[in-house]
Amino acid sequence: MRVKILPPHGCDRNALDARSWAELPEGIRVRDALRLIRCGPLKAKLLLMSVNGERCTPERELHDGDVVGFFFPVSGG
Amino acid sequence: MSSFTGKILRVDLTARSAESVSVPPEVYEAVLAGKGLEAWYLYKHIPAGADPLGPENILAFAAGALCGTGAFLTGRWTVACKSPLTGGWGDANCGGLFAPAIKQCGYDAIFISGVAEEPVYLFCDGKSVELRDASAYWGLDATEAEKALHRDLDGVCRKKPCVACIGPAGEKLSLISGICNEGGRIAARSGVGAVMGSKKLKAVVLAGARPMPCHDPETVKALSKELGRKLLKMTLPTGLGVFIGAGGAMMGHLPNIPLDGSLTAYMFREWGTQANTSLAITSGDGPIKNWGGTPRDVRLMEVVYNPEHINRIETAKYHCYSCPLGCGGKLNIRGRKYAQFDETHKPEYETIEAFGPLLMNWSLDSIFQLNELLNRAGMDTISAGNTVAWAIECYENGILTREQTDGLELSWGNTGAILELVEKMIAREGFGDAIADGVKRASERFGGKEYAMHVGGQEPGMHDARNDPQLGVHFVAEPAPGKHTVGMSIEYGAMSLCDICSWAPPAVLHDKEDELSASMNMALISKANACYTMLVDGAGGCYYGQMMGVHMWKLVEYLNAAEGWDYDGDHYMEIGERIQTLRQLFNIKQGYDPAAVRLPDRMAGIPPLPSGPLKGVTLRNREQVAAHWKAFGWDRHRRTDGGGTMTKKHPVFDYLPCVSCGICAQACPVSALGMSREGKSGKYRNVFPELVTDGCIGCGQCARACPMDVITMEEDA
Ligand code: SF4
Ligand code: SF4
Ligand code: SF4
Repeated sequence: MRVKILPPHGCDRNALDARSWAELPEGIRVRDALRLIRCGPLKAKLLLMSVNGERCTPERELHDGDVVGFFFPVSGG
Repeated sequence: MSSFTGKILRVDLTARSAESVSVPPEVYEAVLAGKGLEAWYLYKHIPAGADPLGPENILAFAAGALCGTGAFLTGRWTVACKSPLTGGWGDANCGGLFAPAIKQCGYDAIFISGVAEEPVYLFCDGKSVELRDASAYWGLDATEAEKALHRDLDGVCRKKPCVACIGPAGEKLSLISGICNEGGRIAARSGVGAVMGSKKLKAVVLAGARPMPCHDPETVKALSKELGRKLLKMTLPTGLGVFIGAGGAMMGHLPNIPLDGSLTAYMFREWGTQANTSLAITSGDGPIKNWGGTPRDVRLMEVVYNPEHINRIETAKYHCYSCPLGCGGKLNIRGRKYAQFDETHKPEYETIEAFGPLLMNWSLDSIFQLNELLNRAGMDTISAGNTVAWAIECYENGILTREQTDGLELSWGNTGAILELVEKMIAREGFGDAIADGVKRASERFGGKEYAMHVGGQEPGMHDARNDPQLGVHFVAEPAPGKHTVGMSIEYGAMSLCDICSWAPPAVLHDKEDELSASMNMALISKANACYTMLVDGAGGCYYGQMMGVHMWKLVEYLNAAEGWDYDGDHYMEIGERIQTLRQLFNIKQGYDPAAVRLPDRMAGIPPLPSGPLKGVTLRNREQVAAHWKAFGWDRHRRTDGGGTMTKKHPVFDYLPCVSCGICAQACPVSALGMSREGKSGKYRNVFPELVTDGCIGCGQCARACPMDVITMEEDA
């Protein structure tokens, strides 16, 4: 399945294509996406995260076509 | 059925007549409604060289295609005309309830020409149209006039009427005046208020109750429900706003990343646009000291303009029609310093920035008062702020003397003097009168042109192109120059347009310097931004819906469901492109030379700022604008001498099967095609279609309409 991931500053984008999409196996969760972009656990704690604009926890399961966004509350959007 | 009413209302104030006119469906297919419909009509009907304040100018009010369908964030109304400020295309948009009110009267748009002899207001309840005496309301401020009209019409109409009106600024023909509704929400830009004032039209009052059509309301509703459900969950912990200033300082130094646009919704829900003020001060986005200062000049001002101060006195959120976001708010300002009023609409970021950091004014309380004063007067806060900034800088540099300013000590941050000057501008008294037509006129009269920040005659919105060079492209290339709501890099990164448009470049992580490039890639970004914004305006959408991104606010899906179409994003972007092209054509017809528009040196970083987040930045604005035109396929020379077509495609005719039915010419949304070519069909003399003006926009409607396949569209050479 294909998922769009919009990583915050300082994360790794190598696993994503030019339009920020990644090809991923079924059944993975937001926390796996965090690992994919090499976002450390401390940073992950500070982030607000959303799937298709809906706030979620790292346990949220992902589906084909989902858009995963991250946001430091202090970076002002 | 589609979402269009299929009708427009045409009013002639001189003849005191009104008629309902049908619009062919091809027009909606080509340009939607809203700003698109206005561009189509005004381009055709305002004669070249018309006096913006004379009877030939036409003032248009339009609702967008999606208004009334159940689609969220589609309650914006657009007013358009020939701008007295720039001499070219003018438009402004506003929220509230006026957009559905237009449609509930049974029209997609209202076009008003002529000049009334005495002050009148236009009344329409969907059955009758009347011009009524407005002498009792002339002279009242916009909020009072609206109240008085509501009071006088109470019980007379079955439905509570919606009022769009001008205040004293429009009545006194200030070229920076706008049109208000809902107690001081204002369609502020382009001098639209002066045009209404010149027509002696105090108000448009709409009280129709017709149903608003939609092709597939169930699908539209499902799309809205999905969005609404998400937005309901978008709340932030209280108090976070105090960190925004620090975040802005950080942002000033970080590379730009594509963001999830939905996250902007948190900001708008929590604080509204004012969340941007402290961010703008520290990041370099917000102009300081008449665009010449740096954050050093206003150290710690972000604390004063921290959004939590305003949230604390907010009594209720304010939502425009059909908006689940509600970025607006009502504030209780009773008893605050300078305040003459109990309540005000939450000031927008633009207003706070224009009367705060731009003037080095540290008093938030004074901004509440200025906001309410200017909204009631119906004067544009962006233009007024830029004009006051010019006056202060002229005064500080000895170009203006105390005698000239009527004794006002116009030094930076002198709150009392700023308030007094604005009151004088509104009343058109003394020095206030002399500068009430904006900064271009003021500097032509008094000098200090180097301090006059305007683009093509209009004062720019409060975002610095040195921080986001894409803004500079739109400031200049936009047919209504100086607008800040057409495109920025940061928004482009948030909208994910590449997911609906095949030619829109993907947003990628990049350094700020990369944005200075005049590459075709950057130009395609600015083009995509402009096309999408025009599409949104044709749909009647809100800029903040747009900013959330195509995965949140699903414009393409909304339009397909509302109109019964099955078009892809590329097709819709072409509609946006067509609207933008029509507006540009309007300018050329009116003799407004788009190639002559420049950013003021200071705004372009000539010379660059010595410190702060924008240190050392000089824009390559002219090259970027040239690339933008190239991306649109507009030929600079042909465009500016009015001798060309600006299209990328044009119709070619194989006359052999032509039966002279005239369907193609009727289908042309800009009347570029006429049945005027004389020839023979067999043994009969006949007329055939040909291009009769330079105005062909390459839309292909003629080719699609022709039943005999006479017309094909060919790429321009
Ligand atoms: S205001 Fe509430 S009830 Fe009314 S349409 Fe919107 S969501 Fe539905
Ligand atoms: S986001 Fe704000 S401006 Fe836009 S429609 Fe909603 S309330 Fe109006
Ligand atoms: S002549 Fe040009 S503008 Fe008119 S319908 Fe044909 S392609 Fe469109």
